[in-house]
Amino acid sequence: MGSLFRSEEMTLAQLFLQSEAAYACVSELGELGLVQFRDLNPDVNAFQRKFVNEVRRCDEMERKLRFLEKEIRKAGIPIVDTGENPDAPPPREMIDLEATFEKLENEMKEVNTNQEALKRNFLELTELKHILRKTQSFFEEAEFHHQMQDPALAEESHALLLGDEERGGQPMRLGFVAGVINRERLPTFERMLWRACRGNVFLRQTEIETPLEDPVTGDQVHKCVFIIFFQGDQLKSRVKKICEGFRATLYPCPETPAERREMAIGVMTRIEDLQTVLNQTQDHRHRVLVSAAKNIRVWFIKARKIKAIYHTLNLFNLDVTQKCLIAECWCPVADLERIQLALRRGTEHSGSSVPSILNRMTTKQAPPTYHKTNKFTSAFQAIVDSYGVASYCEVNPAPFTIITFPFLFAVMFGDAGHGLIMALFGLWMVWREKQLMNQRKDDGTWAIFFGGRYIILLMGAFSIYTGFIYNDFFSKSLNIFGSSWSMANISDEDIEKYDMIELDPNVTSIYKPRSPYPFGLDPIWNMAENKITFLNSFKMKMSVILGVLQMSFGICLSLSNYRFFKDPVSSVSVFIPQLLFLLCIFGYMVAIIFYKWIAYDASISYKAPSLLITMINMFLFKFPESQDDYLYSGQKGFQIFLVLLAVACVPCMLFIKPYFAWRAHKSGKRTVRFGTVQMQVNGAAEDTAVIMDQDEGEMPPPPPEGVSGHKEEEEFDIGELLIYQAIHTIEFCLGCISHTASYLRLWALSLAHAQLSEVLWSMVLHIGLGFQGWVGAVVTTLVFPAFAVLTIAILLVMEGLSAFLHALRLHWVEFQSKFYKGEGHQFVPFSFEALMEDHN
Amino acid sequence: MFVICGPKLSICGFIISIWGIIMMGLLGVFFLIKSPLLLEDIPATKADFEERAKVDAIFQQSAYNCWVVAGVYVFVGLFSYFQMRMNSRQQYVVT
Repeated sequence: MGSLFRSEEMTLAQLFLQSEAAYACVSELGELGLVQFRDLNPDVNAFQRKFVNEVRRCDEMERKLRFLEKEIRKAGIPIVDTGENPDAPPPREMIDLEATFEKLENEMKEVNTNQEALKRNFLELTELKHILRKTQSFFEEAEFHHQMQDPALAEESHALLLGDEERGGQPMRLGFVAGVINRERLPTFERMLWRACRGNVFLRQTEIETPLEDPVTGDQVHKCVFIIFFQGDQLKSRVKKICEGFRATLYPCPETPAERREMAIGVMTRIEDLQTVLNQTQDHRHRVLVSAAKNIRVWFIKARKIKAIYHTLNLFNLDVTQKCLIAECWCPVADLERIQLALRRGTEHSGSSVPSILNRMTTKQAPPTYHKTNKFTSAFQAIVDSYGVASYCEVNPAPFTIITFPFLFAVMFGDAGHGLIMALFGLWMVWREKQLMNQRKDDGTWAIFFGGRYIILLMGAFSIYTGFIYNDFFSKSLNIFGSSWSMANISDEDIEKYDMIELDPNVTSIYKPRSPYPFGLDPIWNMAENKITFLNSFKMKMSVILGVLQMSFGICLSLSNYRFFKDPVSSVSVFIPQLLFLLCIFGYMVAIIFYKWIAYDASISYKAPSLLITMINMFLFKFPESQDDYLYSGQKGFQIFLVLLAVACVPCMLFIKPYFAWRAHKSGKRTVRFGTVQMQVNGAAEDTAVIMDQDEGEMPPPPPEGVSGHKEEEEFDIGELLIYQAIHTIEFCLGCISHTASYLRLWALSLAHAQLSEVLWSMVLHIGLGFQGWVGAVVTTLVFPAFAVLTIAILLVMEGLSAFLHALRLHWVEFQSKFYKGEGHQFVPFSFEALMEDHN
Repeated sequence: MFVICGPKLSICGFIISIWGIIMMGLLGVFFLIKSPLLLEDIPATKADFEERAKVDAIFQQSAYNCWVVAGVYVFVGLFSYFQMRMNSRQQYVVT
């Protein structure tokens, strides 16, 4: 059963793996990706499991690799992605890998510390160099001033600087400190100095033009050289404290020019030496990283695979003899052969002589749901799954969604022009699939669009179709086949006399009744004043027809479910009354819609009865007096019959099923009903699975959540069953009415879309076209990009999203509620491929 | 040739130009055959409708306008295309 219609048949299997072959076997199964392992020791915590050490070692390896990767990225070295996918290495290779990573990491760390130390040294020297150079100019300036100014003035300035106490004293010994500070700290530093020393210090600063590199973070920082003059020891210590507080680095600066020059020369030579050493370190580091970058991807894959394997092995049970590991897993029946083959390969690889054994088990637990999808169907399956994962072997709505979803979308999005753009976008994504697949994996929005590329393509294609049906192309109609209406016989006087002219379809010179416009809407309606009235009637009827069709199809699918789960009672007592109920009311409505379209032509359309009134009267048993107001003869009797039939269906839905259940219970037979196949959430039922042929005594007690299914057979409660059935019946009957009304959104949204695109045309592009002469061309050129961008932003993206959401709702609620339970749990196979995708 | 537009802008310009060329070209044809649907889009006053020749002339003018716009977009498209080429070449050099 390899179809999408129902999920794959699954089986629980037991695996006996020789301890030495287990690793290789799990590795093979991981490559295959068709097996979901169950945790056999759920009450053992993660630290007490058998292979916890190995998992830890793998974690350590991954950490080292991440460290290396970070360093590589920081150095800007590209990591080559060869697309190579190495097998999980044998366990003994793990030691080699560990050793390699250890060595690399240590080397990296050593190089990093060395480099940091060197860089710090280098920074200090550069700063000192700058200080010597800059302070030189300060000192020179000072001397220059000294020579220029007369002593009295100099005295004056000093006096001002130092305050009253020193006035008139002998020339002072001014001390100074020189240092470097971050440029952004300078203003506060200056103010602080001024306040703390009461203006008794003198600060000079200049900026260092070239930014310096911070040795720890590697950032580029701008700094300033400053020199502070002061007098006395107290001020000196105060200044030093402040410098410390502001993280300014102070450097010793000799006082005489000769010493300074000497020092500068010394610093320069040391810088040069350091530069060569630094370059060599840098080269070495680069070489190490480049060689690591070549392998790091493969190493990552290997480490992750080993980790995954040991993690899986941790889920297994140890045999008493410690000779073999026992695993339980879910696997698709159709792929058992391939799994056996993989196991054999694994055993061969490990060189073990004893084969691994795969043993099918029976269980009462609900198997996981597994749909085999390909790149085309997976997006549609995802739409269904996001509502609820199908119960095991239930009819899967996804194959029908492939057609109905884009179609219902297109009904709401009916514009051939917009559809064309959307289809081209989808086509481009499908066309360039391979190239695009590897680009921009981390961009969330893009990933959504790209994942839905086939949906977008189909939605676009269907929108082109409905666009032609509505005859809308950027809100304008195309007259491809020639309109069936003609103005040729209307006299010029009439045209001049009236603002508006009524085209009567009964006049053969105006309308050719036997040759309507062959496909879609006649383009003349686009010019008609009553276009919306006409379209509303058409689109509303169409919405109801589509809705009733889809809902009755959904009910028919439920029959397939009842038959598959061998539930004849439900197929008689639920399926038939449900279908009859829907068809008697809304199926009849669809029938008279078609009947009215066919039976009434233009000449007698004025006396056609209103459908809505007919439907309302049908339920009120109110019937018109005159024979003309009937759609057809015998309408009265038939309608009464239909209403009574629909009403009769309700008690059928209510009572037949509980009655059969009650009778079966009374006769002591166990009923086989759909409800007894237990559908449970994965977590709750983890340990309820039991091998069928196992002894009853060994059965572990089922957890409290899981009992309801078993208990139902023991204590039969007719009241509960009746209430359950009543709720379902009421839900269905009310649902039929509200869901049919809900399909009117098809009309509402398509009307909104058509109106919005018309508004966009008349508000934007019309401006350009409306200018006389050549100015029109200029304005149109300017206006067209606005039209294009707004079309994409509002009509395609926004309207598209809203139509998408409404189509989604129609499928999830209106369609799937008729047959779909969606109470299953997803099959999550142990697969290396999925693992690697997660990490990317 | 200089690179003025970035890669995204040039692609955007290129796509809009192609769209513009096709749509304006077709719209021009429809104006030329005096599609009655476009009557409300032409810049004609009530007085113009008195004379058939005037309306015809306005239709023709509108058609020419559309083709002029299409022609402008041919240039914009070519320009964007070359910008796109330059951008992709630059990328090629960098990596």
